[in-house]
Amino acid sequence: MKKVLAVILFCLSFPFLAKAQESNKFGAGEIHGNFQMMAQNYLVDSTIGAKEVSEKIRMNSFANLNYINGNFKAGMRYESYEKALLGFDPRYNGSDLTYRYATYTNDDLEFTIGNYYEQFGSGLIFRSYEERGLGIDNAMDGIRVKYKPTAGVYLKSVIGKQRFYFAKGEGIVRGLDAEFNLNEILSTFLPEFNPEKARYTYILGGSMVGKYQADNDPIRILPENVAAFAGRFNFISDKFNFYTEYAYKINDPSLTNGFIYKKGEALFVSANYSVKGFSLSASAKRVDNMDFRSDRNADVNNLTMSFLPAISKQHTYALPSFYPYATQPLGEIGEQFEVSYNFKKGTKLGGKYGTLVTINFSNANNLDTTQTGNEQGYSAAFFSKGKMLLYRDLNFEVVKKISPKLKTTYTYMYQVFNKDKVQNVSGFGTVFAHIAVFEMQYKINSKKTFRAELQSMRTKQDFGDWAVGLAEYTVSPHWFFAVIDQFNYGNAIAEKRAHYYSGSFGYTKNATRFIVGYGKQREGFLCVGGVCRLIPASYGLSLAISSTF
Amino acid sequence: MKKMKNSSLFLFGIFVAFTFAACDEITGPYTEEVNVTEGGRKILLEDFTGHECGNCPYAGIEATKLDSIYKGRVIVVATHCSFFADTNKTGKFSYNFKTPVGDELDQFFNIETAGLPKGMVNRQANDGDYTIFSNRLLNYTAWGSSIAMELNKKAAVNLSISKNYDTLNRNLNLDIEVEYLEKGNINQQLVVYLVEDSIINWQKWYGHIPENVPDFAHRHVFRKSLNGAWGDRLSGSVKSVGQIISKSFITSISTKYKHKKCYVVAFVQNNITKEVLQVEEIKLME
Repeated sequence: MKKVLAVILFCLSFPFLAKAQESNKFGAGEIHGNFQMMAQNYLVDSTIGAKEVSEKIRMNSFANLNYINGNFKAGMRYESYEKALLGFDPRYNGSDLTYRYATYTNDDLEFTIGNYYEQFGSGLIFRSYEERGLGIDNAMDGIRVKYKPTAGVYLKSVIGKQRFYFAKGEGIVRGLDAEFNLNEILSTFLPEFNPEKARYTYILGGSMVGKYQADNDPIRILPENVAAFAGRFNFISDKFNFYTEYAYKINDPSLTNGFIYKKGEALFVSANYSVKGFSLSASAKRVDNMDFRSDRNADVNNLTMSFLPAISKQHTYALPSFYPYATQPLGEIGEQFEVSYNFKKGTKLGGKYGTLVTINFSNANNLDTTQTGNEQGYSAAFFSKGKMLLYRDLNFEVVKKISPKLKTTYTYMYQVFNKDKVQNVSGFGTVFAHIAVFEMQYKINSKKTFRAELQSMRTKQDFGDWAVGLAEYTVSPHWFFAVIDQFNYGNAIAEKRAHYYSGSFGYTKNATRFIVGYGKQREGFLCVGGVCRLIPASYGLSLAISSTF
Repeated sequence: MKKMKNSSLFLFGIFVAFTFAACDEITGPYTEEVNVTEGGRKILLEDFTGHECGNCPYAGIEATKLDSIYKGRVIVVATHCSFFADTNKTGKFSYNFKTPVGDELDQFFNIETAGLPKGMVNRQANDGDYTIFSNRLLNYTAWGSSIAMELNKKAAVNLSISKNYDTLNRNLNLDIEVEYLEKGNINQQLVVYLVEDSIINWQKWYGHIPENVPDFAHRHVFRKSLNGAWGDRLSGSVKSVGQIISKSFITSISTKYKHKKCYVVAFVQNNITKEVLQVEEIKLME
């Protein structure tokens, strides 16, 4: 089936490609797509632990092709790992068509055959997605139907198996999502009511997802059909947005939860208030035994069905993202608050150009649990936090424009990271880190920009103190040049006080970009569900090409 | 409009009914009596482990459980590999369990990258693709079902081992016979390992108090191979059903090993696909 569909798509595509050079159009149809290639050569460096790689050069690449003609859409992706870059799972090995689909929309019914990505609500019980940088791709392969039976009612149903590298997972996933936009439904009863002009919008939703996996275990009696349910509510106004979702899962013994038969549940609440120059947001989450996968024996990031969004701030600077927090699907309770205020220009704190101040706080603890000593594993008090702190991040950011050409950003943060529990390792304990970042961006003229970062992290734990310096020069729209050095000057082991320097430059022409880099990448761990994967240190030359059409 | 609403409610109801119907709530019992079938096929269960891998004891417990359930039909070899098996200067984990063959298997099957604990059941490709090798690794919770399926397969060869062990000089003579129950091919190789059971040493064990266990019994530890990681070719020609090939091995057992705890594991594998066709074991000292 896969090959047949691929051949049909290729046959469809080839005659169009020549024409696509001109306008991407063929008759009423259009072809779009993208291509990306990332290659790296690996050198040995004993100071950072970069080992010899027998292939010397490795490469990840892919291309997407999509054909659209009226209500019909079809496409495919070809991926190649020869061999996969270090840090990617070696089961990404070889080259093949990994994604192909055809979608047709007929009135209010849309159906897809083949591969697709889908999400129900915030994804607490179902999210099929790809995160190429992390090597995550749990695309569905099967059938999806979307149906809008009446105004304001949106039904989605899915069935299929999830992608597992170049194969498919064992479990069959099937699910249904129903969303009700109350404003749109009301408009069917009150024709004079215009939902698009309504001051408030109310949306209700509900999902049910089940998986089937045969019980071939000779010892345990396992549920072959496991279902999860979720309900959500969203209130939207021009200044205020409130979203909440609750999910419940029946017994789902698995590798990650240690084969306990306890029920799972998750609650997510988020509220945002925003007016010109001021915003306030708060969110909270409680997760209890909600690791939900289509294969009970899967680990790391494989075959996940549930997506439990982290509610800590996603940092973009190098040192603040050194200790990234990932949701603990087996149990956590956490909250986040953020307030942002823009001091108007002309005021004392705003100065000539205004000043934006953002304060963010996030925190996650374990659950308050009691071991039951039986197959249920434990019981957990719903509203009570455990005593163990998993993560805390308090950060302040000030963005200040000094002149029309110079913009500066000052950031300070205090992070507490329970490395042993979050990464499921031992002997590292909890890391307490003070981090400061200064960034300046200077616009030399309309085309040339210079940007620099200075970062410092002070900690007595783990690898000790780090400093980072970065300089970037951009000549738009074509060129950029960057150098960065990450220096682990505070490492307790003198010979590990290494510089992780790298340099890169890139050239962009229209929708095509080339980036060449050279330098060192530090070693790190990726740990999920009790199994750890090492992302090894590397050193060498890299080349990236990306193009869209 | 009313008709449309009724039809959507009807559709919605069907989906809800389907989903609710697809729920298996287990209220106990949670385990069942294992029905061990008769058969000539034996299973090689390779447990890749490391003394600083805190989750590995759980896999070891599973291997021991399966060994005990399928008494005599599952043969366990625990190979210490990856950075989890590196020696540590602190003194706690200073014993070197690693071996060159273990390192070779680690690199070949990409074990370190996949993470520990991992295992292989007859080196079967769990997705049926024998052109790649990193797909042989299973999490320990999947070993039981994989073994149950393997046991239903017919044996392609029979293996028998006879030994002559000089306990004083620690010299071991082995004679291994391979009898073809199916037509054989030139890719089949005989591999012979030496394994030592119950080595007492340090082990990290998450969830155990204390976490660093000083007197952990390391079961089924791979010590060395008598003929390399992939063994010797059985025959340069195609073999027909009923033919027998004999191979002899001579080796000495290091005084570092407790020979009362040692046993020999011999298995036949297809050296192209790496599938294990049959395995047998014999203790050095009965």
